[in-house]
Amino acid sequence: MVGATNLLLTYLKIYLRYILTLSLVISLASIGLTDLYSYMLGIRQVSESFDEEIGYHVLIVYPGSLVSSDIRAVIPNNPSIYEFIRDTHPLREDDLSFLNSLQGVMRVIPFGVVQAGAKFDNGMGGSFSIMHFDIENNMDIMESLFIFIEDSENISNRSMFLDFTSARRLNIGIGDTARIGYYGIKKGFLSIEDKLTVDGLIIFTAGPNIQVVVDSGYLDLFIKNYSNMTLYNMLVKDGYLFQYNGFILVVENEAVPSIVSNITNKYDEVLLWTSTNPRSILINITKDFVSSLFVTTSTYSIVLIILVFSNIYLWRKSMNRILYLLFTLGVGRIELLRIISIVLLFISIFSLAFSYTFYLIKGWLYDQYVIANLFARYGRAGLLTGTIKSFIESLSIMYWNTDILIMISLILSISFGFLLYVLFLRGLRHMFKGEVNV
Amino acid sequence: MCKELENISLRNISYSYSPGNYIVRDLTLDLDVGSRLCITGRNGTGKTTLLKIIGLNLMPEDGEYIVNNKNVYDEDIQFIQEFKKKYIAFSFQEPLLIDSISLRENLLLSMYVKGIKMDMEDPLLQDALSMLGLKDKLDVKAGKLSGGERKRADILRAFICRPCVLILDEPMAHLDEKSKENVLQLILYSDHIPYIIYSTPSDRDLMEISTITLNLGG
Repeated sequence: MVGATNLLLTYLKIYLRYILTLSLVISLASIGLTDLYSYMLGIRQVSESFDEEIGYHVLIVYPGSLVSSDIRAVIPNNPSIYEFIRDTHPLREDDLSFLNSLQGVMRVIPFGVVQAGAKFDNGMGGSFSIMHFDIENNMDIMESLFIFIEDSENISNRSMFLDFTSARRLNIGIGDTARIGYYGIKKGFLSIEDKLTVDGLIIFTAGPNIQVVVDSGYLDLFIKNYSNMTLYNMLVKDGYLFQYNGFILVVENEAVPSIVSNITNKYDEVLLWTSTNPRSILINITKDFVSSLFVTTSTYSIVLIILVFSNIYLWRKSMNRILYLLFTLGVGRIELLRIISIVLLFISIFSLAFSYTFYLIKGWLYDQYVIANLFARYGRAGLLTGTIKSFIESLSIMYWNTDILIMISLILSISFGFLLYVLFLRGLRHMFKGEVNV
Repeated sequence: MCKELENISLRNISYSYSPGNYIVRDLTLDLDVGSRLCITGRNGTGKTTLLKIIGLNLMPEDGEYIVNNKNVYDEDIQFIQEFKKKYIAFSFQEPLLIDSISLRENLLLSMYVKGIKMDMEDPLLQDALSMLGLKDKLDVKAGKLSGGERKRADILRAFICRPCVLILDEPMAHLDEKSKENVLQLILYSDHIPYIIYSTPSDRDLMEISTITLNLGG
C-alpha cells in the first residue's frame, strides 16, 4: 500500500527545487508587498480619518525641516540620530501661499517646534520640545491634537507627538511662565509610565532652523535685547518665518487625497500627520520614503521575475518530463488538482517559514540599527546613490505587521498554485496534440 | 477489469507531424484479447507514433479508436485520461523516470496515480524485480541507474501497474543480451495481460513471440 506520508515525501522530493525557489520568491515578494500594503493602508487611513462630529479634517504638514524627529521616533536611543538631520526647509511666505492655494484647504495655521528649557517651581529644570502656534484663534485644533495624543491607540503615534508636543501651554516664549504637562517615559518612549504637570519659566528656546541656544549667563541680555518678537520680526523681514517649521491644515474631508498628493509633489521630504481621529495612524510621507518603497518594490519585482522565468526556462525540460509521465499515467483534472494541492501545501509552508525568517532578520537589523547606521555612515558621505540608496533606505522601514505578511504570503502561494494548475492543464492538452516532446 | 476490453480497433488512423507529410496514413488495426502485437520497421517509419496513438498519448488527425463498439475519440479529455489510467501502461523508448527519487518511489508514484494497491512484497512485483535484475536497485535514485537498468526499470514501472494494455516502445533498445533475455522472460510471464504491444526495428525474439506482426516499412 502506498502510505500517505511516503507519497507526500515523494512529491516533496520530486518538486523540492521548484517548491524552494517558488517559496523563496513568494517570501521575498511578501516582505516587499507587506511594506507597500502597510504604506497604502496608512494613506487610506489618513483619507478616512475624518471625524464627522468635528466636521473637518486636520492635517499636519511638516516639510523637511524636522526629519530628525522622524528618525528619532524610528530609532530610539540611537547615538547616530543626528546623522539623519538633513537640509532644513525653513518655511517662507511662498509656502503659506502654496498651501492656501490648494483647493479644499479651509485654514492654514503655521506652527513651530522649539526646544525649550524651563525652571520649575519645584526647583527642578528640564528641556522640552514645544509645538507652538496661535492657539487662541485655533482652540478647536489644539483640542484635536490632545485627543489624538492621549487617545491614540498607536503608541508610536503618541510618542512621536510627545516628542514635540509635551507642553500643555503651547504658545510660549522666553520669559513666559508655562504650565507644562509631560509624560515620564521609560526605555525610550515606547512605554508611557507617568504624566505630571508642573509650572515653570521658559528660560531658553532653540528651533532647529535657527539653533539659538542661550545659556543662563546671557539670559537677561537675550530677553532685553532680542525678545522673541524682535527676533521673529527680524527673520520675517529676511523672508523666514522664524520657528515655523510646519503648518496645520484644516481641510475638507473629500479634498484630503488631492491635498496629500499636491504636498508630496511640492516638497522633497514631508511628514504628514492627521489628528482628527484618535484611531488614525501616524503617516510619515516623504518623497524619499515613497520612492524608496516603490524603487524597492520594482527592484524586487524585476529580480523575482528574472528568477522565476530563468528557473522556468532552465527547468522546463525536467518539468515537462514529470508532466508527461503523469500524462501517460492518465492523470486528469482531479488528480492534477490533488497533486497541485500537495505541492501548494508545501509551497505555503515553506513560504511562510521563509517570510517569517526574513521578517525576523529585518526586525533584527532594525533593532540593531544596522541598516540605519549603514545608511547614516555611507548615505551622508554620498557613497550610496540611486537604487541602492533607495533599496537600503527601504530596508530600514519596518512595519510590524505579521498578519498582513501571512495573508500576502498565502495569497501569493495560492496564486502560484493556481497558475501551476492552469499551466499543467494546458500542458496536458498540448501533449495530446503531440506538441510537447520530452 | 480487463474483461471489459473485448477488443480494440483502430480505424483509418492518420497522423502527420507537418501538413501533408503523413507518418501514419489510413491505418486500420484490430486487436483481440490475447494479442501480442509486434510493430516493426526502420527508424522513422512511425513505430513510436503508432504506439503513442494506441496508448492514447497522441490524438490522430483522422480515424477512430473503437473499444467495445465505442469511439474513444468522441469522448472528452477527462474520459480519455480515465481510460488510460484504468487500462493502459506505457514504457518509453527513452525511459521516463524521475531522477531525483529512488526506483521504489518511482514505482510507488505510478501505482498511486493508477490507483493500484500493491505491497512492495507482492509476488508479482518480486518476481518482476528478480526477472529484470533490479531487486537490489530499489533504493537507488533513478538518476544513478545505468542506461540498461533505467530501461528495465521503466518496463517494470509499466508492468506493475497491472494494465490491460501494456505498451513497450523498443523494449530491447540499449540492452545487453542478458537483459534482453530478462525482458523477453517478463513479456512471456505477462500472459495475464490481454493486450501487449511492442515495437522493435529488428529483434527476432520479439517478433517470434508475437501473435501479430505489423511491418511499417523497411
